[in-house]
Amino acid sequence: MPTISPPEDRTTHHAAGDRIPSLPPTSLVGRVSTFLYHHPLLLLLLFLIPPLLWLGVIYLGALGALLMQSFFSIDEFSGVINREFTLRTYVELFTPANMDIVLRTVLMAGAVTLASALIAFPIAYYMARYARGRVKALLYLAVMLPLWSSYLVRVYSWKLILAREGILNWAFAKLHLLWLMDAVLALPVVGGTSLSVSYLGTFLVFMYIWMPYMILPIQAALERVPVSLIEAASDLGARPGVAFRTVILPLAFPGVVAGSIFTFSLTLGDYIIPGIIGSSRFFIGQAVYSHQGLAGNIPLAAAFSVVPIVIMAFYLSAAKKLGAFDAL
Amino acid sequence: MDFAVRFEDVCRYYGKVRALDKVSFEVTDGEFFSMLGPSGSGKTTSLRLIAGFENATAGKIFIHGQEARDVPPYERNVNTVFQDYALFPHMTVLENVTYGLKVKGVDRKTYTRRANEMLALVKLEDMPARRPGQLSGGQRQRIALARALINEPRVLLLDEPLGALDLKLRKQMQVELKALQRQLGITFIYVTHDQDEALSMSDRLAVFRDGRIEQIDTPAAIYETPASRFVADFVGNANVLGKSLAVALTGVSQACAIRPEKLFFASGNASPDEDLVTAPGKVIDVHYHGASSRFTVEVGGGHQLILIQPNDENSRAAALTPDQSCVIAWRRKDAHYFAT
Repeated sequence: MPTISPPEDRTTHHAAGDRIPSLPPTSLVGRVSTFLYHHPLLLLLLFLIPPLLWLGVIYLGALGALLMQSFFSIDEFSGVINREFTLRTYVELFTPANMDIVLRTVLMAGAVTLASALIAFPIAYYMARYARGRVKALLYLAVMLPLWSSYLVRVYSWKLILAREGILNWAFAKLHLLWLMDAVLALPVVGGTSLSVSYLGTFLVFMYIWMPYMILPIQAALERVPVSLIEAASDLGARPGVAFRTVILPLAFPGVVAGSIFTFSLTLGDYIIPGIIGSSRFFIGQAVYSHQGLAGNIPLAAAFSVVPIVIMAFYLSAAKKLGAFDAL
Repeated sequence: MDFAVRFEDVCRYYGKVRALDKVSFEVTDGEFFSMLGPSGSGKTTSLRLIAGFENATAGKIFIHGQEARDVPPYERNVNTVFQDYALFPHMTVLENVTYGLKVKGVDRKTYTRRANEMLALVKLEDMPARRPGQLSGGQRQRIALARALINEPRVLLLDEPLGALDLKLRKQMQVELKALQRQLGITFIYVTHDQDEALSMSDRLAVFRDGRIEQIDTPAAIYETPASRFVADFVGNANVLGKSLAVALTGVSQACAIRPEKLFFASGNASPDEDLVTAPGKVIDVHYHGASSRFTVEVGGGHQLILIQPNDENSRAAALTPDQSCVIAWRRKDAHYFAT
């Protein structure tokens, strides 16, 4: 066998080999980066410490302080906070009037979540399965566009839409359907003098405002279901309805649960929408707002804000069981 | 003759792209029929038309004599083994296999018994409770097979089912699939781009190209008498001699193909006669392949031919190294002439 590499080839290799180790000691930056390259854990720590501090001290610390406040009590005469451990505030929380607020909020959050899922699913399904190219981009835009404008502006415009003199009533009148609107408003509890001052109105606006948060996770989950699975179901004899129930829905369900976490928790904590649209009865968020503000009852406000945390803890553990976090 | 599947001038267009262009063929009941071709040649489209996932743009498809156009996939007595297996990830192995019977309303006792038979057939009895994600590629492939076969289809469609497996497992599954087909006696329609697979397994095969069928025949006939340059080139290796080279070497003014294993090295003083062609050449390259070696030889001023010779230390080929001159030869009957 003839030798392949001529001698001059070897000298070039030699020169290159000499130059490489002589690179790093030249500059401080070079030395630091080499040091970090050899200690990847240190680098990771350097990157993580600021966010960990933020999350640990500021966020969890604030939460801890909040929790602590809820175990203090307020002197009803002087309005001075008594910084001693007591469950008095929680006893106050469990009075029927306050429990009404909790129940009202949870029912609203549940109804909003359920209705959002029902409306969002077909939209998400169409986006994931059928829409292509321009139409798909347009649908994305339509779903996301509301998020670009102010939340308050959107809520106030809904007040105008739903008001007695608003465009919705006007449209119903022109269509000679006012009797239908009146019938709906005549419903006990959810009705009222107009949509803008009824639970129904609150419900509609909540649903509108949180809808993108439901559509996007469902759409993402559906997008991940391979077409071949649907074809396989059909190939094995499943009619479209059966294939939907046995294959598509179970695989998209984690996305629905993920979306419901958003809609449920956001409704649970919101205090602006029910303040602008709906009957004047309190939701949890408004109770917190008024107790810590006007009334200066920080302990009760803190106890109130513990309620959504506890509910969400239960909700999340149930969601985890359903595999919601696989879709995030 | 009883046909399992019959295509009559079937066309399938995607916009302006002609995936299938007036394709006609028949698949006999009980045969192992392969559709071979490069990607985009229309073989998978044909399979999807038989399964019912798509409809033909024009033409007619008959499955066991029945026009298939208005029959949805879930009403066809045809099952598919998908390329990616398409196992349901949220179901166990047993639930996957029983799916077809469950949706048809078969009672629990029957489908459980049938599922156990099927799992035994594919030799995977011991893991009914696993999820597809916990199985290896080969095991998934078997489950996909069991899930299709439990429905007792008259035609089983296989879309490159061995594509994702490693070479050894592929060879083993080829043998098993063929044995299974013989044992069950049902029609297998097998899509592949692997010519080895198509040649070794099929009773007959169709070679697809650009939405048309170039040739349909038995593997031996396709290999020995390819109908076109394309078939000669795609199925097995072939040395294709263009018109001018053919004239120079053989005296016949017609393009032809010679299989690499039909060429051999002749002694320096060999001369052509009525059944032997010889040509002087120069060895360019030798590749050792274990049982055989592959020689690249330059003949007729820059044309390269490939020879595959069994490795035998006493042969004339064993002594050849690159840059050596040599004489190659073949029998006239081994050259296959094309009409065009």
